[in-house]
Amino acid sequence: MYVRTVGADTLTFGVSGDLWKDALVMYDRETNSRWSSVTGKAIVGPLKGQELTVYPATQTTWRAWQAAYPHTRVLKKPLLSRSVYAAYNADSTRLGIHGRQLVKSALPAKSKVIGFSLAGQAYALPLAALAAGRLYHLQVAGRQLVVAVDLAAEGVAVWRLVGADDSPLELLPGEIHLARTAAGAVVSLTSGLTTAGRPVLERIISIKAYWFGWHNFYPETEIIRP
Amino acid sequence: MPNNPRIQNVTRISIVNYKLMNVRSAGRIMLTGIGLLFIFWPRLSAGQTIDGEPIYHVLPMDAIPAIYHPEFVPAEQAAKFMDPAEQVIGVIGPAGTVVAYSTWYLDSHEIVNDLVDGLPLAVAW
Repeated sequence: MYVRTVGADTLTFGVSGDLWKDALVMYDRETNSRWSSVTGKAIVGPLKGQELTVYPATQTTWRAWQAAYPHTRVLKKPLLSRSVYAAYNADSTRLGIHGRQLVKSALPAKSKVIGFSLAGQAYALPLAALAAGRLYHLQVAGRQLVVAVDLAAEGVAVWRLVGADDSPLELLPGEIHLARTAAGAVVSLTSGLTTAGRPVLERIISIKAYWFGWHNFYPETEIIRP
Repeated sequence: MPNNPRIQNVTRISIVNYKLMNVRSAGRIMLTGIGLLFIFWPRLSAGQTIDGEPIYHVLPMDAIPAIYHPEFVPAEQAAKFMDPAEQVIGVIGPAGTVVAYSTWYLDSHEIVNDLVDGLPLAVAW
C-alpha cells in the first residue's frame, strides 16, 4: 500500500505489463515512469529514483477484518471462489514466468517468507517456521521486535516495541488482533496503539513473498528461524 | 506525509505480494476481461536492464486493468460477494475510515487507485 503522491503531485497507477525481478511493474499515467511494486521506487522514466511512501495495511481474512471493524467498507466485486493464481500458487516447481532457477538455496524456492529490512540488512522469516495464535518476541539488529501471525490469511505483521516497559506482550485469549502489555493495557495489532491511544508498537515494513522472489531483490538476506 | 503523525507513528508496511504473474492466468484474464476469442501468447522480450535485471515485456500495457474508480459497499451488504475465508488487505485512513480490498479480486487487477479520507492511496498487490 503506497501513498500515490510525489511532492505535490498525485499519481495514477496502471499495470505496465512488464515484469522486473519476477514482479509487477507499475506505470504512472502522469509521466509514464515505471515503478517496482515491490520497492515503491521508480526505475525508468522522468521520475526515476523517486520513492513512494508506504502506508500501513493489514492482511487478514474477511471474517477477521469484519469482526474487528464492523463499519468497514469493502471494494465491490463479483463473487469469486478462489484466486486466479490458485494453480500457480499450488505448484512448487513454477518460479515466476521464466521458470527461474535458484541454485544453492537456503530455503525451498517456492516457500513463503516474511521479508523486511533493518539497518541496511535484509531479513526473512520463513512462514513455515511460524505458528498461529502467538506472538514472537525477537531480538534483531539490536531492536526488540514483535511478530504477530494471522495464519488463516498468512498475514504476518512485524513490529518494533517502542514502549520498553511493556515487554513482553501476549495475545488476548481467542484474539488475533489484540494483545495485552505486562501492565495490562490492551494494544491493537492493526494500529500498534493502546485503547488509550498510546503507541506501543511501530510497524516495520514487511512483505510476504515467495523465497525466490524476495531473493531476487535481496540476495544477501539473513534467515531468521524463531 | 511527514506532518501526519498517524502515518509516522504507526507504520510502514507494504503488502505488495510477489505472487508473480503467470502467463496462462494473464491470458485468461484477458479473455474474460475483454471477451475476445483469441489466446494471447505473450512475447517474452527483454527490454532495458536495471540493476543487472532485464525488464521483461510480458503483456501489453493495461492488459490487466487496474482499478481507477473503485466502488464500495458497507460490510453488511457484502455477504453476497465476500467469502468469510477470503483474504483481504485492510487499511485505516488518516481520519479513521476503514476499507477492505479482496486479494482474490486484486489478482485480476493488481492495482487499486483509491482516495481514503482524502489521501490518495495505491493498493499494489
